[in-house]
Formats: sequence, structure tokens, C-alpha cells
Amino acid sequence: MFREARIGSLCLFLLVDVLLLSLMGCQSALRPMAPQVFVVGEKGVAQTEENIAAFNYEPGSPKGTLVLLHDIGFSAKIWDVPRASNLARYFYRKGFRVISLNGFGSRPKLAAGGDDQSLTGWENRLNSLSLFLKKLNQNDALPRPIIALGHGFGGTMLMELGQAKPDFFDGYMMMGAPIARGSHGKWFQAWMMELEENGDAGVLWGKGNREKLEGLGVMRSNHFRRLQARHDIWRLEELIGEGYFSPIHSAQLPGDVRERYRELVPFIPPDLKTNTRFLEKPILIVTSPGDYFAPPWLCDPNSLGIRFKHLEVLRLTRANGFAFEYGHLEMILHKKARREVYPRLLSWLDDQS
Amino acid sequence: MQEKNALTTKFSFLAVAIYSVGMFGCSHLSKIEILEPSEILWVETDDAWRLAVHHFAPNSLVKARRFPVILCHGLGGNRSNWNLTEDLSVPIYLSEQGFDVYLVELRGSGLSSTPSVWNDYSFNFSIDDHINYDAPALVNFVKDYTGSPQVHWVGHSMGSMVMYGYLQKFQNHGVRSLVGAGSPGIVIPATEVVELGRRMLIEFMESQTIGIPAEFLIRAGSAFAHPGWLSSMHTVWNYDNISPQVARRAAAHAVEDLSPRVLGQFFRSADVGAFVSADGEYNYTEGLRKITVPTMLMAGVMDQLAPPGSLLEVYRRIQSPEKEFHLLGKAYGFSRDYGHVDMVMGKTAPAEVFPLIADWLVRMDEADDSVLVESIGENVHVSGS
Repeated sequence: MFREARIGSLCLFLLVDVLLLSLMGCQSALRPMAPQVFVVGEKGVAQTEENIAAFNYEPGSPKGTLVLLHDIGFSAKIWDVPRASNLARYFYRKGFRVISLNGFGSRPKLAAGGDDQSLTGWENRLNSLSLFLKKLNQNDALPRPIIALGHGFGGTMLMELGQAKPDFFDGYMMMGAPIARGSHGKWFQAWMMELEENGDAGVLWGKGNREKLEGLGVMRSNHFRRLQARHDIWRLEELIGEGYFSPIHSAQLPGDVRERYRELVPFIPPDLKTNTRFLEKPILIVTSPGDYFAPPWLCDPNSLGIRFKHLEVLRLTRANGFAFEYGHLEMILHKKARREVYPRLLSWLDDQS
Repeated sequence: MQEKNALTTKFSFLAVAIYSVGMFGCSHLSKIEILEPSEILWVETDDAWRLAVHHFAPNSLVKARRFPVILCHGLGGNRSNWNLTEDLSVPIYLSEQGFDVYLVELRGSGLSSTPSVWNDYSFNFSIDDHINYDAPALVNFVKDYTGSPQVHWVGHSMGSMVMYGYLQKFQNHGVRSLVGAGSPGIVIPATEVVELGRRMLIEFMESQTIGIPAEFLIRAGSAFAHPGWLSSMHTVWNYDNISPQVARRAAAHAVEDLSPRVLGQFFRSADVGAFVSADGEYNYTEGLRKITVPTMLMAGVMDQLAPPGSLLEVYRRIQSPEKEFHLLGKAYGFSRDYGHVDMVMGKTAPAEVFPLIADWLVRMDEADDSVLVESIGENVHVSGS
């Protein structure tokens, strides 16, 4: 009797082991696909594993193209964060071709030239971005409609690109992307001043700069914490460690942006209100009062007297039925964004297709 | 079977009706604990409406101020907007600072003439009527009553929108300074509920003359005013900054029936993208450039009815020699992100917002008259930048 029980126990252990091993094996099959990687060389767009410039998520028969551009100080990885949220893969699974640009990468890789610091300014980034998209479209005709989806200053940059070349994009989805500049509040000024006083305004964060950042006290700064309204999506230190942020090599923020932050009345690009071809494009503005980096009065064309012909504004607040007032990062990264925000983007996108 | 269903429906309606009336009655149990005004005065407008003015005499132990203060409520509000509890009473706060305070009620609100089956008044009035009849009557009355050549005007939401219109239409306005708390210069439908109303109800509202029974409905639901179990309730206040008792009390006592034409004018303004008259002929937003009265504006970062962008429009346009803009939010040095109503009824309003108003009024009260007129464009104070 005792012997039979031992055999039974051994069999049970064996069975559990086999089951666990099988599950472990199957789990690798569940790993997400690795996106294809593009880089811009002197002769055009090439596909290689080196010198990452953009991630390409290409489904079988795409319904359209989404061009993603992250905010300044982040990397393209912010759209594809394992265990958190992955907007790039969400739209890929919904049948859209997704091209996620590494627009403000750790090195200026959008054009050949390695660490050429001359490419770090706003205008240069805009030019190289334009060049990249032009070459990409020439080599590999992108399925229409082509929709620009930008976060923060990435959205601002895509809109500026659209103003210069109104025919390239068929629509815009802007997430926490300021149209006007200024009116961020005392905390932002204090933060900028803190960086300037340390004589290192250009380098904010990045994998390699953690020690430096800790020395600066930026990591401990409350200003830094304002990236998140609820502080529960991720530990910022972890995000930095994983490389979701990227350093900003140059203090050349968009134009005279740092001066503008000192003013209350936001500055609106002067020719924006008259660019009728651009203003005819459909646009979805996603904004939230919990976003301290790009508050609604800087993102909402209604607040700025700019009249888009087909404008929709999505305000991520409890008043509109959302779980909370989303912060700048949470509108992309929070697990609730997958349930509440992404479907709204998809619905708008489907209307454009 | 059909008869049974019809009977069930009837019983359901009856049950809801009994419940609503019961709740409406019970809401009176949530009493307002306020200090009563020194006296209640009455003003008659040119078009024969009777308006109530609640007078709070200044504290005689502190320095007397030069000019009286008029406090005005917003859309669908009454005197309780500014005077809900002893702690949340701006008139008492200001009278303790030495100001002679007059808390007014516009037509259709509180103790002022209110349309009913017992009188000939009608809800067929718009914001234009507040501007053309109520505001001049109230300002002139307080000036005459006190003998002061000027008054300070402090308005919440529509309470100062009325003043935007009045100041551009009347040359000898007699207003010393203006405070706009959540008072927009353009109407932005910041929530989906308002947007839906704008799209669907504009023509219907403009054609109605029967009041919208907001008072009854909100009183009946006042027991559930906190927490905000309807997401759209976050439109009017940020629940993080309001105590349950205050929310219930506000719902029970601070809401009045709405004029459909006033609401229609808001929807039409949202449609146009500017604050316009009820007939759409006059653009008050354009006329803001005529305003030269010293003005302080306060915008709640979480305000879904008057988002900061809609007040920035006022700040940009007015030509006042002294103008200030305060963004009431954590990023701008305040302890909370304020919403539309909690900027006057919020937990932290007495500590953060009331002193801001009093400080402005004291400065404008003591300012040299010539400075206010001559230094246009030079003394622009900005906070939050």
C-alpha cells in the first residue's frame, strides 16, 4: 500500500514537471513578433539590424499606414512596451501597417552621419524626418490613408511636417501634442533652470546617463514625476533603465521654446491659421487636464482659435467617462489606456479608412 | 400579458414619482448653515423684474474699504453659490476684510422674480437680458445705496460673462475692478455631454419658454451627489476636492431652474466658437477688446465647463491696465487641480482661492485711480507662467 502511494506521488510529480516544461516551451511561441527594422542610408532606405531608425510592423493586407513619432526625450520603444502597453502592436493586429520612427534617438540616426551633433536641432530633425518618409514611400509605396500619430513634441513635429507638405499625410492623431508653446507653469521653468544651472541642459536622461542624472538630482525632482499623473504605471527608474527614454544631445528644443515657456499667453505658429490645405485634413486631438507636459489649452485648437475642418477632440477625463485624468505617459502606457483610449483611436481611424 | 406590462410600467412611473417627490422634500433636511445677511434689499429692473440683493455689512473692527463688492452667481445658481456654509462663504470672508458686500441674484434665481404659474414672468430670457437689464440695475442700485462712485464685481462662471457684456455695452459702467472665476470668453464644449447638447438641443432650446426643472431633478438626486456615480457629474466639479456634505448641500440648495434660452445661447455660442448674443448678431468675444477695467481671471485646470483656454481668450483680448491670470492647479503652485464649482466650494478654496480674491480686491481698492487709467499694458501681472 505504502509503495503504491509512493509510485503515485512520483507519477504526479512527473506529470506536473512535464506540464510545466510543455507550458514553458509553448510560451516561446507566444512571444510577439519582432518588428522589421529600417535604417536610412545615403542611398535610401535599407533593411538591416544595425543602426535602428524605424520599426516596421507590416500585416498581410494593410488597411492603411500609421506613422508613429514619440515625444522628445523618449525612444520608439515607448510604443511597444512589454508587460505594459503596446500601441504599435495593437494597430498592427487591427490590420494597419505601423512605422514607428526613432525620431529623437540616442544618436541622430535618421540620416547617415553617426553622432553628428549638427543633426540634433529641431529643423534638422524635421528635414531628416521628411527625407526618410519620402524615401520610404518611394521605395515601398505606403498603403493609404497615411495617418500621422504623434505623442508630445513628436506630434508637434509631424504637424509641422504636414504644414510644409500637406499632401503626405491623410490625417493626424495627436496625443498630448502641443500646438502652441508656453504656459506650462512654474514647475517646468524650475526644471529647465535646474538643468541650465548645472550647465547640461541638453542631456536629460538615458541609459548611460543614470549616474549623471542622479548627481543632478533630476531623478529625485518632483518635476520629473509630473510625467505621470497617477505614478502607478511603471517606475520611472525602470523605464530609464530599460532604455525607453533617450538622451537629448542638444539644448535646441523647438525653436525658441524655452523662452516661450516663460510666457503665459501661448505662442501659436503664425502661418498655421492660414494654411488651408493643412486645415482641411481630419485631425483627432487627444488631451487631458492631467497632462502637465502638454496641457489641453496648448493642444486643443478650439482654445487657440484654430479652425480645422474635421476636428475631433478626445479629452481623457472622468467627465467623459474615463477612469481618471490621464497623464502625459499614461495615455499611451497605462493598462487602462488599452481598454479605454486605443479603441477610441481605432474607431476614429476606421472612419478615415 | 400586455395589460400586465402596462400596469407594471404605470407602477414603475408612480414609484419613481413618489421617490423623487420624497427625495425633493428630504433635501430640505440638509440645511444651509450660514450666517444670515444683514438685510435683504430689492431692485427693480427696467423691464419690471424684481431682483434680490443680500447685504453683508463690513466688519467695523477692521479698516473700511473704499468700494463695495458685488458677488454674482453663475448659470443655474443662486446666492448659495458664494454662501453655502459658514466656512465656504465668500461674502462673510470679504466682509471680515472690511468690504461692504452685496450678494445678488439674477432673474429667475433664488429670491428674485422666478417664473411660475402664480405670476406672469416667463423663462423666455437670455444672457442678453442679464446684461442689458439685470447688471445695470444692480450696479446702479449698489452705487446709489452706498454712495460710492464705483463697485467691484466678482462673478462665478456666467456671473462674470454678464459683466463682459455689460462693460462693452455701457460706457459709464461704474465698475472698479472685475474678478472672473471660471468665466469663459468663448464656449468650448469640453465634455461629450455638452457636445451632444450642442449638436442636438440648440434649436429645441431656443424655441422653448418653459423652464428646465433642474432644481427639482437635482434636489431629488441630491442624496447621491457624492461620489460622482455618473461620469458626467465630473463636468461640474472635481470630486477629489469637494466633501460629500458640501456636494449634497450644493445639489439641494444651490441649483435653480434653467432658462432654455440661456442654455440655447450657450449652445449657439459653442457652435459659433465665440460668446454671441441669443440672436447671433452681436459677438461679445470680439467686444472684449473694449474692456479696460482691471480684471483678474481664475481658471481651474480640471474645469470641464470653462476650460482654461476659454479664459485665456479673455485674458488675451481685454485691454485692461491691470490684468492677472491664475491657473488653479497643482502645476501652478496650488494644492489641488480645481474644477468649475470646487473653485468656490472646494475643500481648499477658503485657504487658496478666497485669499486670492481678497488680495486682488484690496489692491484694486487701494490703487491710485490715475495708475489704473494711465498704465495700460505696463502692469500686466501673470501668475502660473
